[in-house]
Amino acid sequence: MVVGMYYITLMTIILIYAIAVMGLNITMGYAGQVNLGQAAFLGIGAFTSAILTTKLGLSFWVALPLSALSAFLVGILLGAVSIRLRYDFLAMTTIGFNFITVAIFLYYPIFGGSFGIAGIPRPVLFGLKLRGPAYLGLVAAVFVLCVLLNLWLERSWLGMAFETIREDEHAAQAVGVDVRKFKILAFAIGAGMAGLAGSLYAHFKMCVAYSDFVFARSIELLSMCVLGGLGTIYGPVLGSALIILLPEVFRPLRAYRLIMHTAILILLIRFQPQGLLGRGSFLQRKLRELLGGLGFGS
Amino acid sequence: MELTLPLFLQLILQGLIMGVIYATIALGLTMVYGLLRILHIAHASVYTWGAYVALTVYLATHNILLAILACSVVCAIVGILIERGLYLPMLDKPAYVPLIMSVATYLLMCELCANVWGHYPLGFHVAELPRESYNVGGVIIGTHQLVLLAIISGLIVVLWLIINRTKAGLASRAVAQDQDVAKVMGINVRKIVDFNFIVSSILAGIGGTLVGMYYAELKPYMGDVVAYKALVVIVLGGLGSVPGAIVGSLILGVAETFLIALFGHLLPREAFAFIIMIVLLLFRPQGLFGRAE
Amino acid sequence: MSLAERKWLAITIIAVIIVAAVVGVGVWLLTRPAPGPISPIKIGFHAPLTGFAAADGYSALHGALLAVRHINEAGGVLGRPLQLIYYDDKCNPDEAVAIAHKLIEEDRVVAAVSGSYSHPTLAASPIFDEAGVPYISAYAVHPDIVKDKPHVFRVGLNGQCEGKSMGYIAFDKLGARKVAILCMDIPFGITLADNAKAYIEGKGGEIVYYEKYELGETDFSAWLTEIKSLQDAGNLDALLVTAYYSEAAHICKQARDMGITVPIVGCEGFDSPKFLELAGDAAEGVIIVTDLNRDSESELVQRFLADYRAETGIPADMVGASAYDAVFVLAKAIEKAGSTDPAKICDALRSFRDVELVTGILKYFTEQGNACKTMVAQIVENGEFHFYAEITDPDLITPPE
Repeated sequence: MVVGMYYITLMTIILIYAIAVMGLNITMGYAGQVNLGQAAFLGIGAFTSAILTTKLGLSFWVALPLSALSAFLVGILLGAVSIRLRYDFLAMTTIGFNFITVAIFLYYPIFGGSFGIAGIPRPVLFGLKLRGPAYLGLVAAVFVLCVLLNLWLERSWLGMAFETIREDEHAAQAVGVDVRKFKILAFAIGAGMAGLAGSLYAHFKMCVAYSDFVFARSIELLSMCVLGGLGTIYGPVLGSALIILLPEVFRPLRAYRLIMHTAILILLIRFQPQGLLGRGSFLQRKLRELLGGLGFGS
Repeated sequence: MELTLPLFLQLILQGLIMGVIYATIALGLTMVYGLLRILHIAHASVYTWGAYVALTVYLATHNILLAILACSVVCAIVGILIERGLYLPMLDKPAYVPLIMSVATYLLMCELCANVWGHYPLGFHVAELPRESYNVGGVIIGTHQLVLLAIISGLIVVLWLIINRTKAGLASRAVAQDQDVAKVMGINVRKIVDFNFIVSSILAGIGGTLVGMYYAELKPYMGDVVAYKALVVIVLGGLGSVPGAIVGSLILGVAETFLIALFGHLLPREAFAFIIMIVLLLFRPQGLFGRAE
Repeated sequence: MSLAERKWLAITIIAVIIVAAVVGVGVWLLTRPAPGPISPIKIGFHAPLTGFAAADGYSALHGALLAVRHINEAGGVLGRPLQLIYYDDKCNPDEAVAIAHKLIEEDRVVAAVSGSYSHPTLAASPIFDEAGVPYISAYAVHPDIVKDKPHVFRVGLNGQCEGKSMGYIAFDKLGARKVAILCMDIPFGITLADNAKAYIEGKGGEIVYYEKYELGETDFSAWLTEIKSLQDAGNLDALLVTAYYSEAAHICKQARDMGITVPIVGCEGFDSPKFLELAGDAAEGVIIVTDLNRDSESELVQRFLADYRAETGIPADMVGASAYDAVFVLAKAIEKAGSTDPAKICDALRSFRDVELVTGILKYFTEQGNACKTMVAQIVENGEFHFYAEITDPDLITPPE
């Protein structure tokens, strides 16, 4: 019994969500495509991994990339649908997508119906079952990979294409950017990351059900993304940490927890809508000053 | 399952009832969207609070009219608070900001409700509401159903008159169409937005009260059923269109009831509604009465 | 952000944090038991205390706290007082996982009870099992909760047994041969409905209708209309419903309003004073399979009913009674084991035979940890639950494994 598992558990959950939120950040923060159904992709990844490991007996190491792939493919589908839709309509379509996906999880027996799928095995590496700190290590490794991917994206032609689309779609089209292709890609990559997170989630909890991926969860992911700062690298993990830790911090408050933490969420969004690390935010400016004072460039 | 005439009519009746219930929220949602382009999910909590306030006042005074009056006042105030405190300052921010705030507010208000009135469902039995059932040619009609339909239809007619026959209504439509032009024409946009919030919040509050009386039950999360479904309605009817919201609610209510009865085993109720919505968004985003842009 | 805005932000956030901290510390201080010379035996507990499931969470919490009070009044366990350490899980499996770790490592509980629904309990169970901490689920029914976990037990009714018993009531006691089933689409509802169906069909009856609805549904007209038409065509003898009290009340009311007159058979989800209150007259004659017998002559049961009502102001329900029993049986096991060693506690639990609980007689715990318990059917008469039948047939009450 490792002391401190409570904290390790919290960190694991934070990083898993951070990965999904980084995906959302790419779709929304970089490419400017609103997605209120990210939880559905988390679910697609989670169920894919669960089904592959429990019903087909495949190893986690095979299931993980396949989960990302399945979510990626559905992301292409949603992306294709998104092409014709303006902002508000796109928002509502993604909400509908979330509800429909969850309904499918509930109704079709392969997903376990309302029971969901239990008994999801732990990953095995060199004959050792990964749990606790070892699992956190795995999640952290994937997280770092995603951060690197994100950094590369920012500086690459892909990132630039996303940015032009976000700023002005029509201008981008005019300069010859294939807006449709990149919109699809924005959704697909965001979805793929969520799929990755979904697989990690399933093997962490060892059970998944439709109720884990309802619309409320998409809003939770969105809040993490916005709170941390849309379009920033570390915004997602900060937002994730904040939203996961707030209810834990408020545990002594018992009945008033939910009230406190939604109230704080509302206040934070109200006064720092660009996110805590977003452009021009309080934190970002202070950090800049601090780093500048220490001799680092901006 | 055999679709006999009585069964058909019964389903239509049930569908219309669901429809008017959706309308109480959808109307407010579409009005707010028309003016501010914000999806006011928190509207469902105004609906819930209205019902609870009405119940409280009713239990204290046993006067249903007083209860509805109190509910209207409280809902109007809550509506204005949300509008001024949360939405107006966020108008220049990207649309997901007010959306997150709206959903968080909805959750917060439901929790407050649960903390003030208790987590358990509360009974809402109104002595003045007759609950007899009559069998008319194979169709069972309850007096409480007729009362619900009558009152909400009445409210909708009142709303219609407000929108189409009053100066405030005309100004609202002008602001919804083009805010800047409206300002230039001398319309006090701020006041019009306030007015719309008051009217739609009162409608939602009374709607919630009526629904609570109809099912004789209130729950802190009673808004869940209508909150997201109303999105489908406003898309169906055309975003920002009041007649659209009315027609859309009725169509959705009836279509849903039929689909569940005939194809219930395919997918849950909500899924049907959202599939309809997505298909519409793809092929006819202006819905029934919206303007094609 | 302007200077004024920034000032407001800082002030508001600081104020909120200060208020939260003060309230939090205050609550924590006030609810900590005064340290005495004898250290208490700590039992962990989690339930949804906020969010949509909070009503059941509170019932469970009250039941558990009442058990702790009764036990301590009788002298505690092994001469030490029992202390319940409880947390809110919002019916969220992720939080249940964090809580499980917190209870095990920070609070160092000897054992734990789940007062929550299936999914949070399911998520927490492997954690308790791997840590070797005995974990009892009060009323969650998901079969995988106890599966292959030697430290996890369930004290509530087994869903399969309950379902079969519902079938038994409909077929054998009511003589129904054509039954319609309206089933709540959650593990609890489906297990019950499927098993009732299997029982009835196995005996030669016919299921003329089987449809599912969502938790939280309030309008059943679409389904009831079909059921009514079956009744009118002479094709229906009874309506079997799996639901929680809120949906149950709606279904009964709407069914009666619509002219459906056949008997309605319900499950333990109906077992709540709220069902009686919300359904009103429509509840008359409804028969439910449950484990709480209001007419029981047992002193344990009557004391529980009286004290629960005195403390909370509302009559007890199945959820509260189950949570009470979970803590009760755990305390008895610790007493029998003579120590707080987890292996000994689990052995003690396994050794129990015919223990009297508030919710019936616990015959024994099965290999997997399910409870083999007698059940009772209650009928609503004059707005109250009364005894209808006892279910003791081993075929019906033994959980299949």
